[in-house]
Amino acid sequence: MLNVKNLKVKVADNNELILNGIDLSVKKGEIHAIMGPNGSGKSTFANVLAGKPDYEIVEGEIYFLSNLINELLPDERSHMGLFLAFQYPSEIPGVRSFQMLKASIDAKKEYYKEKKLSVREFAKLYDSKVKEMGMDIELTKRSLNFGFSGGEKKKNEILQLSILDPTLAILDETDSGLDVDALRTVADGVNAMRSVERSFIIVTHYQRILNYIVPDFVHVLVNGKIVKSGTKDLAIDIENNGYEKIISELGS
Amino acid sequence: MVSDIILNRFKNLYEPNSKFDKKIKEIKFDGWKNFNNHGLPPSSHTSELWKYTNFSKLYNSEFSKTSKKDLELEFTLFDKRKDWNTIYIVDGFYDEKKSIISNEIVLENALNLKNLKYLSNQFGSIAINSENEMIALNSSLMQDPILVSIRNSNKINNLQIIIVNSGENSQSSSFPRLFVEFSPNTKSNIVEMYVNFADNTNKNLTVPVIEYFLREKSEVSHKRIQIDQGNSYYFQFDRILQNEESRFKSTSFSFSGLLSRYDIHSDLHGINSDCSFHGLYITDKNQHQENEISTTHSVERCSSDQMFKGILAGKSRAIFSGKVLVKKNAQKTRAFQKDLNFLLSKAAEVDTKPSLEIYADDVECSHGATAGNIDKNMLFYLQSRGINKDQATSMLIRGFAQEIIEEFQDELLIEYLEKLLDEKIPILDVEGIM
Repeated sequence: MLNVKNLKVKVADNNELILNGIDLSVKKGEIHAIMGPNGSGKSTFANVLAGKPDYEIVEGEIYFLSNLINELLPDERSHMGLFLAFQYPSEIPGVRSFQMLKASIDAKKEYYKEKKLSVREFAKLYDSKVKEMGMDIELTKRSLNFGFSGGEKKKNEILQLSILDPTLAILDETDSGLDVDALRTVADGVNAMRSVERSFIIVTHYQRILNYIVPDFVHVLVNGKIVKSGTKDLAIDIENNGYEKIISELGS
Repeated sequence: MVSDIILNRFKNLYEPNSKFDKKIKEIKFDGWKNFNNHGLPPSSHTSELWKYTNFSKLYNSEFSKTSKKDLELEFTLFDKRKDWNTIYIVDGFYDEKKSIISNEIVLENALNLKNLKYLSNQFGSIAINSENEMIALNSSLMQDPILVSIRNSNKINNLQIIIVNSGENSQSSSFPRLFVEFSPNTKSNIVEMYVNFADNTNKNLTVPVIEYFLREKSEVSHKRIQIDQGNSYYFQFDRILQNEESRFKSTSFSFSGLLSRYDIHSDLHGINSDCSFHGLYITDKNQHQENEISTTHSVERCSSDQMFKGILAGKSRAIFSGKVLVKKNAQKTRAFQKDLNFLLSKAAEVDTKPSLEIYADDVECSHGATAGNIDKNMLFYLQSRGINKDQATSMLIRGFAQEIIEEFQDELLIEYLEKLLDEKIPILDVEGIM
């Protein structure tokens, strides 16, 4: 599904590396958690996978479904089935969720030269997903993410995830700023999407979300490099002992 | 004194022996006197008002007279609304044949005021000659002034005012002039539209002046659309006088021409009155759009707000000059101003100057202005959802405009404007920004 090899990344006008040689392999149906202290490069990694133009790949390769995607635009990656749930979803004035997602689906159909959904067909799909997520239909009539609470923004990301139906979903600190109820709703949404055909990368600072979405593998990112990998027990270890223990082990 | 060359040029257009009503003729003479003293702008007392306007091309142009004519022009948009009162002013002349006036409103022309004689003292007192050179020019050269009175307070009165430049004469000049009275307790929808049929080689000058006289407790929802995009000069003045407990809510949309200026002012003259001026301006290529938006709080307990948005592409330039004057006695005033701009190209330029001039001490006022480019994070967000950069850019511009478009609250106009935006936004010149 995803193969990242020796990925080194910097921001355009600064020579300092933010990602310093990441290797990661995600197979079909797997859930990987990427954990790390603040500033370790977790969010950068998520954004680089999605193709954010602020970053420059200095070295290394990203293969998605056996295609080298280093140079692909974010929209092309999306068409291939890659999805990023944002840590801070943008508020977009005058653009409604329905309208954006219809444009997304249309673009994808166009890309694969398939027949587009009619507005009615899309509305049916959209309404059923909104209902599934237990979202307030009034929110979806507003400008995207405008006046949404933190929890509503994250739910809205998961709504998009379920409608766009990707093969690889990257969740960038989706748990941050969520209360327990919202966290559970979001996790339920993700769990409902789990399948042998779909993989997840869950980027998080805390172990908490991993109680609800149980990962197959856990990786610890420090200074732009994966320094330790393991199973969900590693996450529990971090919860108990903090990142300090791992970092000090590195030094020794 | 005005240079002889310019004066002589306009002298050819001036007709001192018009058969207008005596009072209206006085305004005309007064306008001409003012024009003789000050000429085309700017003059010493208005230089601040015209700070950004480049008149050089206008000064070098010679304009011709228009004549009253009977043209078959297509207005599919407005012809759909047979139940609206519709005033067509073609090249400065009232087109009686095309216009539709129900017996619920009274309309007279300046040749014979008949039932509206009582308004002759108000005419020219809301748009004042000495205030602005272009108003004086309009008074001097107005071809066919129209007075209207809206009186029915039992229903909502709908009136469309369509100002047309037919493009029939080259280098033509026209000076539409209207005075509209709203009787007490009336509610009205006013749609003002400017349409220019002239092609790009035809540089014409259009200077409309409209006076709106709101009597107590009258309410006006004012929607204005200026579609120019031609190679012409356009200076429009809306002047409003509001009496007690009146409301004037204006939403404006300007697609600029070579040099366009929209100038709206309301005098909140009766307590508890309220006015709001909202608008959107879009400029591209070498177009120039000025927005001179002003409110005077003359008495206490009134509120006003101004909210304009600009979208600028190409090498275009826009100006937002928002003014709120709160006079000494105007206590308990509430006044808000905002101007937000979206710059789509490196060469586009906006000058935004919101200003408050406050002489009362018990007021609540605020103002602000911004100018920015396309937000990269928003763009990435949409792209990550599979929407390509061009389409995402269009969506963001469209979204920015949408807030104002929705304020039109008129299905036909919204549909028309949305269609227009869908066509125009993708072809705006966004060179050099991304």
